[in-house]
Order: sequence, then C-alpha cells, then structure tokens
Amino acid sequence: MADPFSPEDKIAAFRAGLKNAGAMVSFTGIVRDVAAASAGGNQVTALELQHYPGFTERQISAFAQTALDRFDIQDVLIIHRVGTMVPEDPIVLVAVAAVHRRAAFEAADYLMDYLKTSAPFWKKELRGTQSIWIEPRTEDYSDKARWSLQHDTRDEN
Amino acid sequence: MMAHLLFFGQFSDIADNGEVTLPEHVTDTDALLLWLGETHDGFSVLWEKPGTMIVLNHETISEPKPIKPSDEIAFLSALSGG
Repeated sequence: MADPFSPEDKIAAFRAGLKNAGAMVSFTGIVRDVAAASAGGNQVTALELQHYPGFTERQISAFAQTALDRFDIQDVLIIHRVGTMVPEDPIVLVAVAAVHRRAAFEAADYLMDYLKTSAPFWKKELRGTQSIWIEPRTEDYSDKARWSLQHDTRDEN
Repeated sequence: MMAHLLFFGQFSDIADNGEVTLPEHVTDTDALLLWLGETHDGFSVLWEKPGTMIVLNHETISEPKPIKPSDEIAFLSALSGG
C-alpha cells in the first residue's frame, strides 16, 4: 500500500476477525533514520520502495500460503508500504494467529525472512544529496536458509 | 512488434517503462537483452550482476523465450527485500 498505515489499527482489525486463536504474534518494521554501519551509518532522510504491481502481491500471497501450509497457524496478515517513506514510518506489518504460540512465532519469523530476501521490492535510501540502492545483508540470506534445515511445528505446542 | 517493457531497481535508473516498438530481429528474450544493451548505456553491465531476473507476463523465466505482441517483459535487478 502506498499510504501510511497504523499497525495498531490493522492488528486490532485482524484480531477482531479471529476465532479460537490462542496466540497472535505481530512484527512491525520501521524505517530507520541511520543507514546500516556497513553502509556508512549516514543519516537517512527518506526511503523509496519500488514494487512490481501485481507480481509483488502475488509473490507475497504465495509466501503467506506456504506459511499456512507449513505451520500450524490459522491466519496471516501481511501489509507492506511502497513509495516514499520517512524515518519512523512503519514499513511492514506481519501478524500471525494460531492456537498455540510457537507456531505463531515461527511463522512470523519465517515470513519476515522471506520478505527480507525474496519479495520483489527495491529499496533506495536517500542520504542527504545521495541516493543508494540497498541490497539484502548476508545475515538476511542466512536467516532465510535456516528454514530449509528445519522441520515444521505442526505437532508441537 | 510492440511490447510492454518494465524496469525495476537499478534498471529503472537507465531505462523507462512503457510500450516499445521492437526491431524486427528482436523476437526472443535473448535478442531483447542484446538490443537493450546496445541502446541503453550500462544495461549489459547491470544485467551481468548477480540476482538479475526477467519476468515474462508475470512469470520468471530461466531460459530464452519467444516474444509475442503485447507481451509484458520486466527486468528486475537484485531484490532488496522488504
């Protein structure tokens, strides 16, 4: 979505639609005001996020469906900003509902790892007069790789 | 032949989105890559970077494909992630 959103409002609406959920986990990503140390640590004045309309949404829906198939969860909410944002703006919200907490935590973690590495987004940080394209960190890829090594949690609480 | 070309990420710095009339010899995605390299400074260098992709009519392709009239062809630089 191009417009700013309130994570609190979106979480409340998501929670209101749940039935028999014993756990809800949410993660909100926020635009930082300082670039990563590896990128020089300079002040960030704005963040521009490109997406591929239609294609990006379809990829994110596929991640959500994979999470629903893999983890013992009931529902997923994913909201992602696009366009121009400023520091402290919420950029992404992931919420997961489940009967038990562990599946909800793990599914939210899984979804964020996929969003950070595999979602068709392109980020450009504006640092004063400079604009810099951002690529995922090595840690983002290693975080995602964890999921190819793990079993699912369907039988666990 | 007309095609709809889209450029994302670093590609968007060197090429504009829009309907394009392709030369007669550009009938597949490999020929399109060569033509874009000839007509846009820096395109070929960027295409050789890791993580670049072509998406044909919203499907990622890993080998050359024929281009049909009105196809949508997107060039994606390495994803930044969300």
